[in-house]
Amino acid sequence: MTLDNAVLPPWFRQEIPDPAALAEMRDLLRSSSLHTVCEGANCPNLGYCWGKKTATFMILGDICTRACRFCAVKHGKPSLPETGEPESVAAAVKRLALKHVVITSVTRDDMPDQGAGQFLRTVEMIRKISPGTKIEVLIPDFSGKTELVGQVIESRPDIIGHNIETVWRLYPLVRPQADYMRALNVLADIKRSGFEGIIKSGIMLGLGEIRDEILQTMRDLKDAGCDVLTIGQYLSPSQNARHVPVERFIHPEEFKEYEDVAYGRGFRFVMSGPLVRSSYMAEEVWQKK
Amino acid sequence: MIATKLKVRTFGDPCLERLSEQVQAIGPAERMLIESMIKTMYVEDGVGLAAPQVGINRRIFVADIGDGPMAVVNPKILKKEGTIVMEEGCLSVPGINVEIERPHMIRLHYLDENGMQQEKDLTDLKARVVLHEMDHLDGKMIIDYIAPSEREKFIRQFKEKSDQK
Repeated sequence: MTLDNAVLPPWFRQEIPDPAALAEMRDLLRSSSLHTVCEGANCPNLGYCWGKKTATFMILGDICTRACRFCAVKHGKPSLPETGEPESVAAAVKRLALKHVVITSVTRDDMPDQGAGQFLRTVEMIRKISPGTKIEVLIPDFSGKTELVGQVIESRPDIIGHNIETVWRLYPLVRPQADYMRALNVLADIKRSGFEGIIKSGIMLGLGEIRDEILQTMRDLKDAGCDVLTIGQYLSPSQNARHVPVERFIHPEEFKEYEDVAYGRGFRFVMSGPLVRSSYMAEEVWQKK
Repeated sequence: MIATKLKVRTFGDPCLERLSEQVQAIGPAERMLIESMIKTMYVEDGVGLAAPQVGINRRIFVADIGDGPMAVVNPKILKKEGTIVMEEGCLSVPGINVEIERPHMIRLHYLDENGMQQEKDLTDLKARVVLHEMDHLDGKMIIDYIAPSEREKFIRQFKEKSDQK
């Protein structure tokens, strides 16, 4: 047998998930034809989160029109979104009695409204059926179109997130179809709109960025109006040439340093660690407030 | 006699598809084979190597996941628990990696290079390497875990990569 990448560092030890909890979640998802980014992106925390009855739903299908090189989600030509999707998601949220739900999506450059309307309808439906649930949306850049971002803001989620993912220099390598400034502008648009909820962004480390670049990105995010920051270790979805290999495994102590810097910079809540992902323990933000 | 580096057989070689036979006795010849297999494994940068991969259909494999080399003869799994998915590569299918679900913990019974009976509980990567090598003893490879529709694609990929060499 061979292992191409270095064996994962010891701090990646994961609890074996409870098969019963996983089975329940899987059954619910299959029966409602729902997708999660948990499965779609091979998240290492799947066992943990599903065991706690948290999931990040992925709407607008499981095929993305972009091909970011850090992402496991299938890319290609998507089909028309399900019309009953907002209702299905809301029903699942209610059935699972989620206190906090995260809704994200693939990027849909092929749709006229790039999927903004589906976000709006999904949030509204959840509010209607499960009014006690905190709603967090993690949105694509909608090609930077302010009016589309505006639609999502209009639905009044509790948290809107848009991930900057990496530093400016690595964008052409890692996110060839996206733009660093555009990502910042999405966050700035949300801030400028007077949105009263929490604005959130996330960055992955281990793609080849250096310390100064990480600090600069933090500065840029804070200036754009970001309140909450997540910092996690990049894990390559596969050995294919399509995916950027892991350049470095950052030590948990270094993650802690960045967390301290971020708090020093004025971020209200920071989650920083190898396994942190944008929605990991997303519900914890309410404790810190 | 000095241990020599052996030739690793690759996908398509009939040795990789046969059921391997139990070892009846462990003598100097078997120990020499084990030494050569260990050398070959290190040179080729593997974490495990099974006898069929060097053309010998006997139930022997070697492995080293960081604790030093171990030799396993006539392995048997007594118990297994849990599952975990990880990507695996194989010296006999170079350049291909497959995600495989395997038990997280196993209880392994085997004979060591001195013919002594051993029983070990192994987890995570150690368990995985053992199960991967045991597959070889039954003529099974990582390619067999891929859905038939995908398998054609992998086989094509592999043939292209081999032709490029």
